[in-house]
Amino acid sequence: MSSLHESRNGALLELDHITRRFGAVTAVNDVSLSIEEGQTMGVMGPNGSGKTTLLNLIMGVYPLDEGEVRFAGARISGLRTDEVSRGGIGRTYQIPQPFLKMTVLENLVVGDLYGGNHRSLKRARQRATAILDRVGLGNRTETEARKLGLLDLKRLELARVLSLRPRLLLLDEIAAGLVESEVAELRSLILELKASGQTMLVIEHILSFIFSVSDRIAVLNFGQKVVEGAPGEIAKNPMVHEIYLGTEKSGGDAARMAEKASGPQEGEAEPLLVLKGVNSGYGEFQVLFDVSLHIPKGEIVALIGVNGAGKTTLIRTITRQLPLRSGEVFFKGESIGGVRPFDVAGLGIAQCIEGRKLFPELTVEENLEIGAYCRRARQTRQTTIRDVFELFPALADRRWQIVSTLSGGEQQMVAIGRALMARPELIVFDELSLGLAPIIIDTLYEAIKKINGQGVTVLLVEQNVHRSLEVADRAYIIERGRIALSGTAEELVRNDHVKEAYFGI
Amino acid sequence: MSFFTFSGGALNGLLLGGLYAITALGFSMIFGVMGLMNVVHGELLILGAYLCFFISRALGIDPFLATLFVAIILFAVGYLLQRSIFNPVMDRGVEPALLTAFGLSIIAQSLFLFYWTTNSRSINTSYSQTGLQVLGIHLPVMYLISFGLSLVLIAGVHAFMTRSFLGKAIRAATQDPVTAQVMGINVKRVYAFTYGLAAATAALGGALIGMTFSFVPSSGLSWLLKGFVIVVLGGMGSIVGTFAGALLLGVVEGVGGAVMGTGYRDLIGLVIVLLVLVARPTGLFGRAR
Amino acid sequence: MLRRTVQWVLLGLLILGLVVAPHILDRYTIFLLYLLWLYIGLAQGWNLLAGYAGLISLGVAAFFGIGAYTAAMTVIHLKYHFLLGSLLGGVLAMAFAAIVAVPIFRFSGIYFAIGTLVLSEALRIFMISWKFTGSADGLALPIEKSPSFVWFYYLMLGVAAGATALVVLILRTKLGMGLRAIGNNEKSAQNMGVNTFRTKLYIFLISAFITGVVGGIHATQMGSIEPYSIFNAMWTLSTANTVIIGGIGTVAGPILGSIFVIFLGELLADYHTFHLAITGVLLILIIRFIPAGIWGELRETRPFRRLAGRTNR
Repeated sequence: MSSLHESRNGALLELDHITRRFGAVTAVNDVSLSIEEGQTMGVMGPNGSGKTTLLNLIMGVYPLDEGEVRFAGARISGLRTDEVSRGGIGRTYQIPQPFLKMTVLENLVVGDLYGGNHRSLKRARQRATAILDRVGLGNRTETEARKLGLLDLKRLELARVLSLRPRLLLLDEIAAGLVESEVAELRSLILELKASGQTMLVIEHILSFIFSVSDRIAVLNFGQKVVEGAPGEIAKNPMVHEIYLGTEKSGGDAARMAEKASGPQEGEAEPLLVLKGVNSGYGEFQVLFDVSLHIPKGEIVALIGVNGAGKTTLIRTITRQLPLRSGEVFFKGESIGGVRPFDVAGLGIAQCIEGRKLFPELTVEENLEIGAYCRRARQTRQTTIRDVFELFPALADRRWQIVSTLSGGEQQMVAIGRALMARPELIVFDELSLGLAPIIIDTLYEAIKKINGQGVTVLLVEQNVHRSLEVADRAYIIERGRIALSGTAEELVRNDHVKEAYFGI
Repeated sequence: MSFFTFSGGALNGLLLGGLYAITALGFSMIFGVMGLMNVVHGELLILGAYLCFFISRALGIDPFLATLFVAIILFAVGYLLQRSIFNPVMDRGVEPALLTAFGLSIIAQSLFLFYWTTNSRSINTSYSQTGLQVLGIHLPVMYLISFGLSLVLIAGVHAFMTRSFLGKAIRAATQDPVTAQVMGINVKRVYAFTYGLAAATAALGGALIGMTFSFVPSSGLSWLLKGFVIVVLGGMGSIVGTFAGALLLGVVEGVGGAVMGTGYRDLIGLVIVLLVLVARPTGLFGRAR
Repeated sequence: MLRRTVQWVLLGLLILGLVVAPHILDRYTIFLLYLLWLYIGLAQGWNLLAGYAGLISLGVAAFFGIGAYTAAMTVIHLKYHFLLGSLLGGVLAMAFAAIVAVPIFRFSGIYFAIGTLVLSEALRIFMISWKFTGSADGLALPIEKSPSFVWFYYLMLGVAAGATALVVLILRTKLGMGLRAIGNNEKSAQNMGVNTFRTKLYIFLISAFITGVVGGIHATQMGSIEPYSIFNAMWTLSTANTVIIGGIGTVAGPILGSIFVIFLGELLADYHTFHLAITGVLLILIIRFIPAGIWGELRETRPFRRLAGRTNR
């Protein structure tokens, strides 16, 4: 619609050395990017690399600390979100939030009337119907949004943002949670949009998806743009592999490797935790498909996968926070499918939850104490606390401090300690290294080895392949809710298919 | 207005604040721990008052002694209420629980009316209507007793929350119910216990109301609203904050009542709470819940 | 098209019946019907806010009372006709709503509910003491001026019908869409460009107006009013009750709920206090087991859907 002449190189969107800090953390660090009209730019990177922040910066959710964002030649950094929206940039949300009790058509009509500043309901309906046809919801206009399946919800989300006729479309992990066939359908929809000339920025974790729809891809890590190029180049780029899979620690850990080689072979140790054909998910959306695995007693088992692969869902299913659709979970030979979530700790399974989730207003000591709430641990909690302080001397000095005042690494120590307080037989660590510096991660992994040395079985859930394989005895690679690969750590370290399974290529 | 009247009003108000603190404590606890705005709290207080009235009369014992029995009864009632009526609707957001509490309030008031009629009651003892003269100011004995009791109760509950294992578990469940479950805490049971405890404090509150003032089946509403004012002023879930808020309300009412006359006294607190909420929608000291 | 014709015929018969009723029924039944229209009026007003926008207001008594007192004061002191007085009652209630809206909309969710309750109680206490409006003794309207009861029947019927029609109308407009969007997900609605404050304000004003008019008419019907009963929280409770039992968030819900509650009241007329207790029990049961209310649940069942022709889902 606008005949505004773009500046110099004709880019529709230009990110010019943008930086954004949150306290001590630099979420986006000197990122420059440009998207031509009609182009589709993909943005990928591990969890915490700054992708969503980037999107928010474009939309004006946060102000920039440095740099500038230009849209169609005009500076837009500093505008409010609704101004950016009206200026021609539309974004989808990761978790679609439609008006559940309104029909598909009505959902769009609201946006059309209010966002587009129209008055006639009739004409709004006509416009909405046209867009719904385009995204494939033409025959479901009178269906209530709460009755839609995930793929249709995503279609609705797309329709919603398209009804505002954006010149630039920002797609935030739109394929998340979909199964293979649904991803394929979504992919063709996006490609159709692309063919009609829509300019897009796609943030995605499902790498096959992003590779197939993008013209160019930018890879972020720790807030910086590490590399940019055509999808083919990026897929083969060793630096990209490193970012996702992690680096091999130079020299490796010879002692650990030797220990593992001489340790119990597969089949000798009895399985502590067994999953058989587990299917589960959230409401209508199935996340895990026929997952089977077994964790032998005394071992460290790693569960590795990208974000959205189903790792946390698997943990929640094991610890009974999620109901089982089908399949079975056995702990120490007994089925625990019917156990209530707060009884799990008492069985002997402790968790070190993703994001730590400490009780923010309690002290270090109080947090640890609560960890020993269950009957098996309650009586001996004073002794256990002493053991924890031995393992993490840094915490002993801080026992009276409120946990929200601790550093990230210290908080993670409290979280691990808290899990230990339950005197568990199995500890599940969910994304231990998230957001922490490598040196701290080393300390924590040392602690895990010590804990395992004392006889506690460990399930380590991680994104970082190499780190986890160094310390684990065996591992499972999970990809889109299915176990793609499994074996002992040595086998997998030598296995080139790991990359394939991981990237889903 | 003379300094005399002013200080008299203020001092009486301060002491009365102790009573207010006891009556508001249960409401504050439930809101702090579960986020439930327990609008049947007023009726719990009045139930405590009625039970104390009848039990002390039937057994011929001092109301404070009767309160011990009433507290046990109300603890059980509260525990059951939370367990069977509130817990099932807690997951559905704040409004269903609020409206359910309203339903309970209607039921309670009707039952009070049916069994105990509209006759105004008060619990009288040899000392409950007497007063002391201190520096020329008349201080009702009940105000003094209430203030003393409030110090004990507040200190006791605070100590429970911060020192005992169960108290820490309750605080953990308040801050993060999902994680608390992972730790092995049966959060629903914690809620039931908290409600029971809150109801037990209402037993004492009701007894004091009965001994200091009089009550009818519909008296609950004004005490509920006072509790709400106090919670907003003092911070939700903070035990000490509730105490401070209660004293503050007492003083403001005492002074205001001396200035404007007793008719408008109850109005003062309500107006203040509206003004405070306008300025800070989450309360004077409260964190956003 | 047979369905449409049948619908119109039934509607016509209903209207005819309602219009003719006061001339053939006894006084008591007419009074019951009057109460029914009153409840429906209040219920539609409350439902607009609570059922569609998701704003649970516990201040019905405040607007009802303002309407009542305005009507009474203008009839007594300004010698206005009672119709005008009632309308002014609605207007003043609306004005009060406009004044308190700005601060009160800043309260979210649960604070809004209690905030309106506080407002209502504060007003009641104030009115009990305010000499200008007769304080605790209240006001008495001149009897000679008051029309026959049948007039009030028709008036309240008109208000109930008008309120219902208004709700239906609003739901068909842009305002109605915005309203429902807010009730579904306020944050999303904002993101889509809905000016949530303004939308909520309009609905708040409309709801207050309806409630005020009902109060005004009721005051002139009663002939004398005093603050204890007019500003009583019971008006709020029974309105909320009616809507929730009948089916919150639907147009027919308030109507069904009112019929149900009146009927129940008659059934238990000898057990007045139990009537209240049972209403409370019903409220709790409905919230727990059938939160959509009688009508809400009924219309999702198969036979109803087929009747309404909505089986393409």
